[in-house]
Amino acid sequence: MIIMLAILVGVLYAAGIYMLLRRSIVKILLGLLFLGHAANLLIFTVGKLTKGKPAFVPEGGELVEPFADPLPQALILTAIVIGFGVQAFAIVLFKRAYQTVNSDDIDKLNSTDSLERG
Amino acid sequence: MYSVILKTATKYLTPLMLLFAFFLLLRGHNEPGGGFVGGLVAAAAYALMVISYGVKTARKELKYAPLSFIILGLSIALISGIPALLVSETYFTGLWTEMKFPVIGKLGTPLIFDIGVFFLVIGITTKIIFTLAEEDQE
Amino acid sequence: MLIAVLSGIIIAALTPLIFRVMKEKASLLLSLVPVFLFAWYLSYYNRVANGEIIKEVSEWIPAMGINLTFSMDGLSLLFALIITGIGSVVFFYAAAYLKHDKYITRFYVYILFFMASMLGVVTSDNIFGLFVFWELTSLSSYLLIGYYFDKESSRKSALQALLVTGTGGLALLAGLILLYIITGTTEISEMLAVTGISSHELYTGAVILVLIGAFTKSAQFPFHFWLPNAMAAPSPVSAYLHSATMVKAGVFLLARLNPVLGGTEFWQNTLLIFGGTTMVIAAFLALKQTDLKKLLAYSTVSVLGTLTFMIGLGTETALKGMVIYLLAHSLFKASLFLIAGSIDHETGTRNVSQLSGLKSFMPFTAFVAIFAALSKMGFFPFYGFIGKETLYDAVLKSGSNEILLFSAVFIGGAVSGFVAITAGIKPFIGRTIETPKSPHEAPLLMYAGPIVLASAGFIFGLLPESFTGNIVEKTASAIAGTNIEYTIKLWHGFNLVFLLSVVTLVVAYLLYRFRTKFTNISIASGVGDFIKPSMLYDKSLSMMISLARGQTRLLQNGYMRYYIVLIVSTALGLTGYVLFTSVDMSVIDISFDITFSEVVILLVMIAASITAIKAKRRLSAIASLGVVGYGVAIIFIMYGAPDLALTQFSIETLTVILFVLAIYRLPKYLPFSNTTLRFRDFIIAAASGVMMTMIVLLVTSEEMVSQLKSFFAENSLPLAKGKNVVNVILVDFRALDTMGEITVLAIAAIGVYALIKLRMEGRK
Repeated sequence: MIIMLAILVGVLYAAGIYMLLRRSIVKILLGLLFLGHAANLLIFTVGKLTKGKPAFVPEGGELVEPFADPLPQALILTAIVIGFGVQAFAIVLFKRAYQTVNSDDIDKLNSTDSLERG
Repeated sequence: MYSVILKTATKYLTPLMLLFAFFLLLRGHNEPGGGFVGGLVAAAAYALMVISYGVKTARKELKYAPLSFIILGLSIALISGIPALLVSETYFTGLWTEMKFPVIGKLGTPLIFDIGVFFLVIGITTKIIFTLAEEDQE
Repeated sequence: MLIAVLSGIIIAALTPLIFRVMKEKASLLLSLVPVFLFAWYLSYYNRVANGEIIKEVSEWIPAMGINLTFSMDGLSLLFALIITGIGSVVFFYAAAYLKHDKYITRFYVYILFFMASMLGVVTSDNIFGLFVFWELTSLSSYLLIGYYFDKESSRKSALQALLVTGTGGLALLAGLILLYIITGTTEISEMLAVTGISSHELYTGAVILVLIGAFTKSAQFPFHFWLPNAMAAPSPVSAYLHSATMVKAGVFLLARLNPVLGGTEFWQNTLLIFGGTTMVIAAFLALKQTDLKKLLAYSTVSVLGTLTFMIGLGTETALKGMVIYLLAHSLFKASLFLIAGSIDHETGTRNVSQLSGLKSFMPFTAFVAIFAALSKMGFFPFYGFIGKETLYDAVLKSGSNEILLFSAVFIGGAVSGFVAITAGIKPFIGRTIETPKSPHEAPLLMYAGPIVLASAGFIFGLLPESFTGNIVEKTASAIAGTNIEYTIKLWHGFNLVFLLSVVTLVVAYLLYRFRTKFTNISIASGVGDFIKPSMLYDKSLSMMISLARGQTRLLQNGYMRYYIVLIVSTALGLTGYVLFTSVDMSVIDISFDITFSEVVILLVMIAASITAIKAKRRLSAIASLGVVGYGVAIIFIMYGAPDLALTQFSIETLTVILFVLAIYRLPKYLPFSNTTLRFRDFIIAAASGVMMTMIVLLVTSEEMVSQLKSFFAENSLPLAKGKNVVNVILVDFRALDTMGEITVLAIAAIGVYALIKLRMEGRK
């Protein structure tokens, strides 16, 4: 089961990086989403997988192994929600950029802060 | 996007989603759920409303401005850490009542904190969606 | 003592509010702050004078043994009184001096902040506390020098001061850390008890680093150049920071650490050589100056050299002389700077050659100026006289190289007298010369304070023992590290020292009388010109800038994908190198125990990813990404993470809605890149994907024992009364982290709102 997730993490990272290298800003945004999924799955996978046993204390008893490690889960939950905030901001930023330069091309954006020659 | 079916479905779905959101929030300490998910589901209800009825209606249904929810949520969360200071524990140490309630279990400051998170998530999500939708309408 | 330090910072934060409410009267109200603090510190006087050392500890980083420890002995108290006492005068003076200035609020914010930091420096017992306050003084000095920020020279001088003292601060930090390693304690009072410091192998390194810190701060050669440039600041700042207090922080540090690091030949000789060199070079440089403030600044540098020199001399008399001279200097030099400010303010010029005969226009100022100048010259019976006599006495009794040492001190003394005559007396006597503004007396607030300081110099001179005896004794004891008994007397009789003192005055007068000739000679011969450390500063600064520009042009060409390619391939190269050279790949466990459902999910997600990449329309790309997101959620469910799955489902839905709202109306994609580019990107992306897969396999094949896992599992119910461990971590164990997270979310939402709202309002 690890091998499947390992491959999936690789595919998602590859997809994310490929999309980040595009010139279309929408594609770059999609690349960010890809990377978000990839990173979450990466943390989830390297935090050891336990099939079907969530970390809930049973009624009147104690948690006995095997159960899923709750700590990476808490981290990922945070990451998912923060990721949403970042995406929302990035989407809106893109929208503003689009309205300003009237193009989806990121290369149209670099005239504002181009390096001063000399 | 203004279809009759969607409108009718929304009418019945939103109260249910809000109810479900509260349910998720309250049981979060013992079962899957919690403030984040609860807040997101509640916000999704309003997102649905935006799609079927438009932003104006959704805003009216939310009653208070999203920003008030953000402020409310942050304040509740910040305040929930204070009782611990009063009994000279470190900030955000959980304190609990001995009484038990149905669904929630025991009442304590972490639950209050979670309620703060709940309102904040509703606030930020609706704020983002409303802002985008309003701009889209112009 | 913590409260005394913090009060300044808190009031600094409230200053804008106070100004809004009180308008012009605010500056007077704020001037009461140093007055109150002065009174507060004075209330410690008796206890300290009786030899008590008062200590106060507040926990700061207890886990690392770093506490905000404050202690007050003679040395600390003397400095605290100078800081708050001269602070009171300067605050009131500035109320009049900057009355019509637009940025007076800022001035009070900065200077309150400075005063608090400076008090922190002199009362901290913990070396790290001391360091933090030390850096804060550099920072506030930067802000104050750059107060007239619309002038380029101001900004340049401010930056220079910051870079020089900041670099010194870094050296100091390193030195203090070495000191901590040597002694094993962070408290200076505990270091005193540690023996064998000087025989430790790190001793020399620690001394050099600490000295760099102290020398940059106190403008010792070869770092002296920043101080005269700092005269770009308003005069009250020059009086306060750059003569009476901040520049003495370096001397204070030397004094404070003298019992810890001192007593070795290396320490004493280094201080003697650098102090002496500074004293003489600054004296020669002072001879050439025509600008009142620069003249005083070079003289200050020379005096700072003298103080360092005296610590280096290290005998009992030398330390006593140093303390007396330090106090005397703070009093007369602050007055002279303030007077220079008044002259500038009322006549519109600071050029000494244009100033003459002002006494009939500015009688009070003239009176104070002459008083302060006499003290600076070391005229009987002023406090400065005692200071100079004790210095001479100490040098003559030093026991070796008396003649060489004395000639250095003599040059310093004579030039000091020359500066006093030129800056304090010359502008007021003689015939009147026309000035840019028609001169008249400065407002009361601008001469009242200097009167207090100058008369203190007079009264202390007449009754030295009753006013300053105890504190000088305790301060000298603190610097020496042993108890020094001492009675200060004004008059020691007609002896060699007195004779030399008189000769000094005569030489000072001759220098003044023939100054034009002397100035010409000095300029022609280029004395003081041949050593220009400021050139080194300018050179290294411009080199740094061109280096930065070059590497920016090379690495940051403005195309984002270029950055990403660079970052990704660097990561790939380095990680790949480690993976292939030093990692045993055979540990990887490749067992294909995959169930059917897992295969299905894997295939669906890969297919959806490819569709999202290849999609011609944005909507279909977004929908495909939605599928990937739901796939992730399903994986969360399968491996025991229902909370994550729930969150992932709702977030995914909301993200799709956001995308649709934002880009629904955009036209179709345009093809931007050609096949070659796409192929290159594909190779990079695929390689990093493979690398990530390898890393996952490698990490998971290691046996990992997490104590946190069992901790949270065992304590979730008993401690936090919750059965859902993930939720318990979020809202209880790590609630503070979650607090930070939701704050970030709130900021993101406000950011979104701002981005859109600004545009919508811009359109209207």
